[in-house]
Amino acid sequence: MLRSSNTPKGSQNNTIRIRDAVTGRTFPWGLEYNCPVHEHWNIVHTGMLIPECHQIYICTDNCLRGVIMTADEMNAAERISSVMPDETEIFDGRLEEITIRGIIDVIRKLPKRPRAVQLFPVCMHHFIGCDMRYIFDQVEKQFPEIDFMECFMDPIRQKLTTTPEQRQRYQMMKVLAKKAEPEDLSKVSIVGENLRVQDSDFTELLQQEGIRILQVQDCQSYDEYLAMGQSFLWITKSPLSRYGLEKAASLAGRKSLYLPVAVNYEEIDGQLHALVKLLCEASGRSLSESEKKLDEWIAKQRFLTEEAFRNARKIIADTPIVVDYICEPRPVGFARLLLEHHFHVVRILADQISPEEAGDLEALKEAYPDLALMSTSASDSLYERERPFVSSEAERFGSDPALVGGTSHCGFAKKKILAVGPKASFFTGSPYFVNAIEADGASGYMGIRHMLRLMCDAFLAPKNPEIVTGKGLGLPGVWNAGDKDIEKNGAVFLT
Amino acid sequence: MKETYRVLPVWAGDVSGIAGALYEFGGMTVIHDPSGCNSTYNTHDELRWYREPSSIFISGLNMKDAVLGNDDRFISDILDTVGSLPARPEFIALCNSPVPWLNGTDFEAIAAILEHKSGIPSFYVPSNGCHDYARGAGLAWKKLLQTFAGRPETFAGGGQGEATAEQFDGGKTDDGAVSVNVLGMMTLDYAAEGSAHSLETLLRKRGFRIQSCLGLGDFADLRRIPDCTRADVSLVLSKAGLLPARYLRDKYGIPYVTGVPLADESDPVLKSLGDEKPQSDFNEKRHADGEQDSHSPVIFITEPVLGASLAAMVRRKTGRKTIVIDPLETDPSAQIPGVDASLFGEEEIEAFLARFPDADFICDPMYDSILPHENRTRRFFLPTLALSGRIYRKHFVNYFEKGMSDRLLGALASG
Repeated sequence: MLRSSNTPKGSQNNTIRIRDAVTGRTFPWGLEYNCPVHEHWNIVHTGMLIPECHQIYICTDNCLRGVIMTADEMNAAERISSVMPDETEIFDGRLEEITIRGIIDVIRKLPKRPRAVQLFPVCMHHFIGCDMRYIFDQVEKQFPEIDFMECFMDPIRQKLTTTPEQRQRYQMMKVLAKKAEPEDLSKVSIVGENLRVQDSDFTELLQQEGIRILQVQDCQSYDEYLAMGQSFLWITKSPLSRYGLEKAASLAGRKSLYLPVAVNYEEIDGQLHALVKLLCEASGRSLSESEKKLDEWIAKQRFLTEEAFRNARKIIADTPIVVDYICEPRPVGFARLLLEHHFHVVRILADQISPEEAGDLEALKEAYPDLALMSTSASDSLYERERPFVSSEAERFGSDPALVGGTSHCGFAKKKILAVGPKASFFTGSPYFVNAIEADGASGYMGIRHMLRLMCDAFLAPKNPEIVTGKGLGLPGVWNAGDKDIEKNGAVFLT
Repeated sequence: MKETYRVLPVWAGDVSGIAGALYEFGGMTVIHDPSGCNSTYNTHDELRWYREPSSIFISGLNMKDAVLGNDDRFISDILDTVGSLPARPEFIALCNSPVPWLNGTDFEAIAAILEHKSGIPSFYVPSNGCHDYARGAGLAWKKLLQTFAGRPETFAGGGQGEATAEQFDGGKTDDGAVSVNVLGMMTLDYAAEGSAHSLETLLRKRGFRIQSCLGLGDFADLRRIPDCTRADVSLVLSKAGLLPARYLRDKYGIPYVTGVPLADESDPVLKSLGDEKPQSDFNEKRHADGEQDSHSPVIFITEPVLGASLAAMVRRKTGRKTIVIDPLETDPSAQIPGVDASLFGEEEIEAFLARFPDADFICDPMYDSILPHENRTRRFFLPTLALSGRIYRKHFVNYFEKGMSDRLLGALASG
């Protein structure tokens, strides 16, 4: 274990000034640290959103265990199975055969035939050169009644090509094309989202137009999920779903719209105008009339948002704020927004900066060049909690400590820190934190106000910082609830 | 099909075993892997990661470097990190997931280069993500012993353990106490808080002196490893401890006893540990223990050394028939005394268990889904981190605390 006497100082590879940041590969690749914050969702959680869908992973012990335990922790052991080839089978060129036979064997053993199956071959399938088309075809031939989604768990590719999340979401959207007829002009589907959308401008506008919104989180059956394909417009907010959205929607002959969680007022306005234009095209209504109404609505939203900022500023005042990318998908933009409203943001946690944030990054470089940007996965981040918090910026960059809030430790804790996100809480040790991921499902002006409310709540009521080690925030789970089901069955723990 | 798991999780893998085994010894462990192994390890197989972190990193291997065999990046990334660490690690340990194994990465050579360039003892623990944690941990501890045991010059701090070479006299410490290497103590098997402390207390109370512990608690200290070669006996608490025990026996002539001492006055493990000629086969004395076949059996599906020890206690106290199943990877050269069946995989275990509808089962709760659920079946759960992870963490059992045996016997005797 780390030795407490060796409090790190001096060289660090995990933090830079924002003025030195670039979009994309912001920090150089090197050894990586994996911090114990697990509330963000992974491919297992996302795959579980589709009712009557089973997941099968074909992998060796170590990685396999991670996905199975993910499902077990959310009390979904019955919805995931695995095939574990041994090393001889892998080495002797039998991986294709074991993969095919294993998938077929698992499906036959299931108590009920699933409507859909997500298949996850892994890194070694690529590396060995398995004929994946052949594998998928063989399996599909055995079970023509099942919709197979060709997913992958292959993180070895994620730095250089698409990620497993992007390809899984494409597959989850692609299946909607199977039953996309007839087109329904009264419905819009929100696709590729982990969280149920709430407090969002675009859903508010759709509801005002009398349009019904479909989300996978509301689906009780696989057929209900497939029916989402009939909606005339498919929308996603998630950058991970952008890759598959247009491809899948075009397969179904549907329009699509990518509305990322913007925090810049002009970008939000642009998104809302694009939505209204699409709605007018579909309904034949006058665009100018609708845009006039929209501008009035936007003016009201801006007023309410500015008022929310003033109220939050009164509560949070000059408290140092750290923003992380788990909570805010646009951490650079959100930090800029807060700073421009006179909040005291001292650090952004993000391992890379999306090109979508290029404008906000340039603005921050200009106005706040010494703002700290910290990687959560750089090897040096292992020691971050050992360091004095706020003074570290001063020591590192030679700024005036007064500008960054003094010289005290944070979490352990002479000075109150407001952490916007679970990783911000972990690295600062602050119990005053917004425990949310993916902007809590909110977006637009309403989303900004939603986050300000969460920040005020977090500022006023501390939480146990260790809750961030739980997996898949917002999902049902046995990890915290314990063992009620088993105890009911008459079994006894020998504790 | 032995490769398929309809509902059971797999036991923790070799990489988790390696990282967990070396956790408390002040080294740096690097997993050559894109992402998954470390995430699995620190999320599900490691309880210390939030409060007491250790220097464990992944390489973040990408497809291009794997295909082109770019070992230079791996080496330079490790050296860069070592250079930026706040303190010099005592050693560098390497392990890996399947792809670096498949492309034939020469880890022994990489470890030699690292040692040459950094001056830090470096070693590779053979792994590929295809094996279980017991094998990984056993290999890691064996490498630790090969690097530091009997070699105080290798360790920057030298031999500063409780019982140094000068204090020994004819194999005994100067106070006459039998000195013990505790082997196979790890959170994956013994996750209950205070387990290491309870064991230390138990051994001290019974007059033993702990020389070293592989690898949890106050005695899991690298400074104790150089002199562990002078201990009188090793105590093997788990399958993972068997490999280092055999190494110390074969190289330094230190005998070992396999079994878990259960804080019970009549416990044979502690008795055997203090014998002039310690024996490892106490679990095999079934007939002498008076086993009766008239009752339904008590079936243990647990870590095998633990299961065999608990079964021996049940036989001794109740005379009931026991069956101990070893669900971990089998090593024909290292059988655990007291194990009745080595069964691997969900299908094989499920088929075997179906033959015992009237049994009492003692196992991790995860096995509940494949146990026979007849009216006569009774289930008693001992969660283990290595299988059910942290899900049942509030029910982890401290086996070295007084009262554990009584709880188990009381449960078996009830209705």
